[in-house]
Amino acid sequence: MINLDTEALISRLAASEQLAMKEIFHHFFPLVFKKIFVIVRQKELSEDLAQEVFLKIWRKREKLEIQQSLEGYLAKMAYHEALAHLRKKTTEVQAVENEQLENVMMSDGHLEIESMELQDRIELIIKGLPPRCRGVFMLSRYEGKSYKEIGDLMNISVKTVENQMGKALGILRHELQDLLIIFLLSLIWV
Amino acid sequence: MKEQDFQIRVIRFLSGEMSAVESEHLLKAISESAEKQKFFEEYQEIWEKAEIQSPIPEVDLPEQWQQFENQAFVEEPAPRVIPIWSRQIFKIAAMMAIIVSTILAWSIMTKAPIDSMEMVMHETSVQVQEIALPDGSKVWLNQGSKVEYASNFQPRTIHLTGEAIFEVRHLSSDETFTVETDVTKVTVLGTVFMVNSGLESKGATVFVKEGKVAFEALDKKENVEILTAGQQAVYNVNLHSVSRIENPSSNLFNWRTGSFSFNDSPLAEILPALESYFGVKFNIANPDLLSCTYNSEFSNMNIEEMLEELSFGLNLEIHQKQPGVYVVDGIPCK
Repeated sequence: MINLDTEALISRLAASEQLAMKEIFHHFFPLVFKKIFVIVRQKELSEDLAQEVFLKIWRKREKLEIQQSLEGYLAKMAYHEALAHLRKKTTEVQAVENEQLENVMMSDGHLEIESMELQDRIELIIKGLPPRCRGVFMLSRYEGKSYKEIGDLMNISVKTVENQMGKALGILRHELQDLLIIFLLSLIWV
Repeated sequence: MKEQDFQIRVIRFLSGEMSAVESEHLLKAISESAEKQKFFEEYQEIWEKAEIQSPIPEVDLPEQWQQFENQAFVEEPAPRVIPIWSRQIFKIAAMMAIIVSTILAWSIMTKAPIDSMEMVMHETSVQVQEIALPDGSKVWLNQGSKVEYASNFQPRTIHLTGEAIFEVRHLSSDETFTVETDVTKVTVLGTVFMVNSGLESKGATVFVKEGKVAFEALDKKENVEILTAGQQAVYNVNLHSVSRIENPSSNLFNWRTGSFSFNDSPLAEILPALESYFGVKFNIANPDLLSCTYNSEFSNMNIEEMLEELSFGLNLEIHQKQPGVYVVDGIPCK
């Protein structure tokens, strides 16, 4: 990545220079998108939320107070945008996702996923987690955040983070039970 | 409950939350138990498998930029300022669940002149009290309840108003232990059970956790229910009879144990349980919320932690309106 003179960029931005905004956008949009996607798991939605982050930056350009790096600042905004989405997520959005899940659901309510590729299975299980529980899990597993950082981002206690991690992994373990049996057998035979 | 604690420790270990000392303790515990080792290996496997992630999709940067330009540079003219950190907080102000501990303990009263025997009375207001009876049995007296018995406790008969859990010490087989309420009598043939003397409108109930008890109506002695572990019966005030209750709630003992277990329980059941345990009040902004269900085990959590967990899990907004009074709002579940 090219080293950006972020301080200069921010002051140019404050002077309402559209070119500065363009530079920032092109440099950081993929990063912001990725941070959001990890939590939200839907491409178009993640793009919309990432757009929202940059719109906020632009609208607030004269009052930006960035203590840390611009990258860190944007990453934090990305998390907030994604997590706020999880919180206010309407039943409508949930309904769409449930429909996706139902497509692979068998009549007895179990997921017919034993034959799927592992990667797709995990993706599906993760999508099926309760939204904010998924947020906690993704921040820990894929973003390497500490429980304390997650708690601060989501405004919850470390204890709740612990419980939600337990919940997420409990569900994964339950849904991947068949793999575990194979895995544990392989331990015995090796 | 222990498994849940262990699970949380294992996950803290896997997610890098543990200090070296803590990790060492955990690994030692794991190496000492085959069962724990299996549990740990399963979680380790899941943790590793979960890393396989679908690739992050590529974004069309020029297209995104165009979209941004159209929105940002057109909507002008004067820049608006919108607070960035419009954080969606449900903030529960620190709640003081300090319970006034004014309890009339050991307030001895002479209940004349029935048999001029000295009576012992225990009464609770807002705190649960554990009482050791002269024969070594124990009573956990729920809030706002009262028990009375003769100081020599011969025979073992105790009078209850309100609700209590009894753990009866087994003496010789012919020595009974009896709990009387105003209208019913419970004769103990075993160990741990709960009696609620009931209100005027609601009859007395008995729930047996361990052992066996006989529950009868004082005004209709032929109507006796023998209850064993897990069974509950109620005295119907209108019919003057005792009958079984199917599927008693698993949370009847929570005021003694401090733990709750919710199994697809609707808020309509959860909130009253919390209200009576913590002595708080909930106002429901939207009655549709009451049908939302939740699955969880709570133990030894304070009200703030419980509410945080609950509001998190069900996406609720819970605000404290005044000390001990919470307003519950949110989007109803489907």
